[in-house]
Amino acid sequence: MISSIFLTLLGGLIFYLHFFSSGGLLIFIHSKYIPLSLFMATFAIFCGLAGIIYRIKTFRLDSLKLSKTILLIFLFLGGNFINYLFFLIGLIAIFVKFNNDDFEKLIKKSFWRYFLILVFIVSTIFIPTPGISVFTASQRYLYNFEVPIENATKIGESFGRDTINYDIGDWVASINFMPNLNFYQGKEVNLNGFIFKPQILPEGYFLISRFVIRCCAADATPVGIIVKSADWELTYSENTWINLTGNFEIENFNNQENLIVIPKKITLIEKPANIYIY
Amino acid sequence: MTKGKILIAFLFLTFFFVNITGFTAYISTPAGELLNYQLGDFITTFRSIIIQAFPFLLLGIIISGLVSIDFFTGVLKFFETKLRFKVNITSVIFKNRFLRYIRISLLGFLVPVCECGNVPVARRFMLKGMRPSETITFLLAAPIINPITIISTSEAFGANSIILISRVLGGFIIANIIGMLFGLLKNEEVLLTKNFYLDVCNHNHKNRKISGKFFEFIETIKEEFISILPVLLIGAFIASASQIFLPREVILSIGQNAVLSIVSMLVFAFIISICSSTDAFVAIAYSKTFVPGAIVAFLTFGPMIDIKILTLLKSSFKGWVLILLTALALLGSFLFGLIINSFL
Repeated sequence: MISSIFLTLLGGLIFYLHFFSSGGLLIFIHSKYIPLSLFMATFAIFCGLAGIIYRIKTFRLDSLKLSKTILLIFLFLGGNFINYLFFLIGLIAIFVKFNNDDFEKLIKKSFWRYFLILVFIVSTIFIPTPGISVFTASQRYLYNFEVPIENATKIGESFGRDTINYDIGDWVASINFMPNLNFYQGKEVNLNGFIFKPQILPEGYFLISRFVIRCCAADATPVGIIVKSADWELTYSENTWINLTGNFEIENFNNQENLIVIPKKITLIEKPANIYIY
Repeated sequence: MTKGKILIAFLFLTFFFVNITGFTAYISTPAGELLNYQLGDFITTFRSIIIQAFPFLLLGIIISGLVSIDFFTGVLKFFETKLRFKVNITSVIFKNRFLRYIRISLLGFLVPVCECGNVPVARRFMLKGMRPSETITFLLAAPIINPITIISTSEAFGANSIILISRVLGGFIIANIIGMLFGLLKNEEVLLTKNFYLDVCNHNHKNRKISGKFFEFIETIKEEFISILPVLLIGAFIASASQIFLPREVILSIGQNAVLSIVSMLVFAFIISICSSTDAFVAIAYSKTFVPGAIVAFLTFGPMIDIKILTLLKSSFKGWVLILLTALALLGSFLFGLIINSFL
C-alpha cells in the first residue's frame, strides 16, 4: 500500500519538475530523454494507482465521504502542486482502508528506505535547482574544441554566408570541422553565454562559454570562445550571462595560435531557460 | 524502538531546516561564494543522476517484472532450441558451463538494459534459478554488449574504430573470466547477502495472496522499485559529492603516460557514474589528451563497476564479493588497456 503511494508520488515529482519548476527537466537531462522520462513517470503513477485501487475494499460513496471529496475538489481547484499533493493524499485517506499492520510493518521493516525517498521528494520540491555553475566549468575545461556537438547542422551549408547567427556550439563544431584558424579571421560573431575565466588563460582574457551535455548534468562539459578585454573584472563577474558582438582575431599566447574575439559591445542578459547546448 | 526511529528522523529534519536559513545567509557573502557554487553544482548533479537513471531503472524493473511472470521463458526456450545451447541448469560438465557463460554474456542483445536497469533484471534471474556467478557475467557484460551501447560508441568514435571493437571484446573477455572465476566456488550461495539468499530459497514456496498475473506484475514492480531506489539515492549522493569535492585536475593531470593515464581514467570512470549508453561521448573529449588504452579502459570499466552500481549491487551481494569484483574488474580493464597501448 505505502509503496504504491510512494511510486505515485515519484511519478508525480517528475511531472512537477517538468511543468512547474523553473528550468524544467531540461536543467537535469538531455532533451531527448524527456519523452522517455515522462512516459515512465506516467507508468509509475499508473502502477501506483493500480496498486492503490487493488487495495480499495469498498467503492460505496456515503454522504460523509462525498462531503470530504467535495472539499478536496476545492483544494484541487486551488491550483499549485502542494494542493495537488494534499488532494491525492486526502483521496487515498478517504477511499482506502489501511490494513492495521501496514503502518507497523513499515516502521519495523523498511523505515529508512521510505524516509530517504521522502526526504528526496520533499527537498526536491522545496529547494530549487540552481544549475551547473562556473565551478564545474573550471573543473572540466579542457582548452580544446574536441567536444562533439549534435545540433550543429549549419556547418558546411553556409560557410562564409551568414555566420552572424552562429552560436557557440556552431562555432565549436566549425572549428572541429575546419581547424585552420586563418579562415575565421575578421568574421563577425554574435554570441550568448556566461563569463568564465579558466586558470590557463592569461590576464585580460575570459571565455564566453556554454555547457554541452550528452546525457545529464553529470557529464556537462564547458566549451567557449576566448574574448579579449582588459579589466573585464571591473565591470563583469564570472557566472553572469552576456550577449557579445565582435570580430574574430588570431593571437599568440600559451605557445599556440588562439582564436579570440575582440568585443564591440557587451550587454548583460537574463539566464536562459535552457542553459545547455547539445 | 519504533518511537526512537521517528524521533531521530524528526530531529534530523528540524536540524536540516533550521540550519538551512543560517547557511543561506553565509553563502551569500563573498567568502561563501565558492561553497555556494559547489553546493549548487552538487544538488544539480545529484538530482540529474537520479532523474536520468529513473526511467532506465524503471525499464529494468519492468523487464524484471516480465521475467517474474515468465514472459521471457518462452523467448529463452526459443533461443535454446534454435541455437542448440540447451543445457540443464544443474549441469556441472565444464564444456556446457563454459558455453552457458558465453551465452549469458550475450544476453544483453535480448534484454537491452544499461547498467542501472540490469541490476533488478539480474536479481530476478537469480530468483528464477540462475547461478550467482553466471549472474555476475551478465551484470558485467550486458551494459557493454548491447545494441544501444554499441550504436552510441560507433556514433562517437566511428563504426570501424579500434576503440569500439576493443571495448566490446574487452567487456566480453573480462566479464566471462570474472564470472568463471566466481564459478569455481563449490557453494555459490556464500556470495549472496543473507536476506537475498532467503528470498532466493523461499521464492518458489511463497504462497502469494495476489490473484492474477497483472497484479503480480504490478506488485513485483513496486517491491523492486522501493527496495532499489533508496540505494540509488545513496549511490548518486556519493558519486556527485566525490565529483564536486575531489578536484578533477588531480585525477586527470597525467595524460600521456602509458600506465598512469590508464589508472587516472579508471578512477575517473569509477567516480563519474554515468550511463553506459552515453559514456562514449564523454570519453571523446579526452581522446586527444589520453592514450587509446586509457580510453578503452574507461569505456570497459565504467559500465561494469562504479559507485552507483556498487551501491545497487550491495542489495544482493556480500561486501567482500563486491570488493573482489571491483578489484578483478579493475585489474582486467587495466591489463586490457596496457595490451591496447602496446599494440597501438
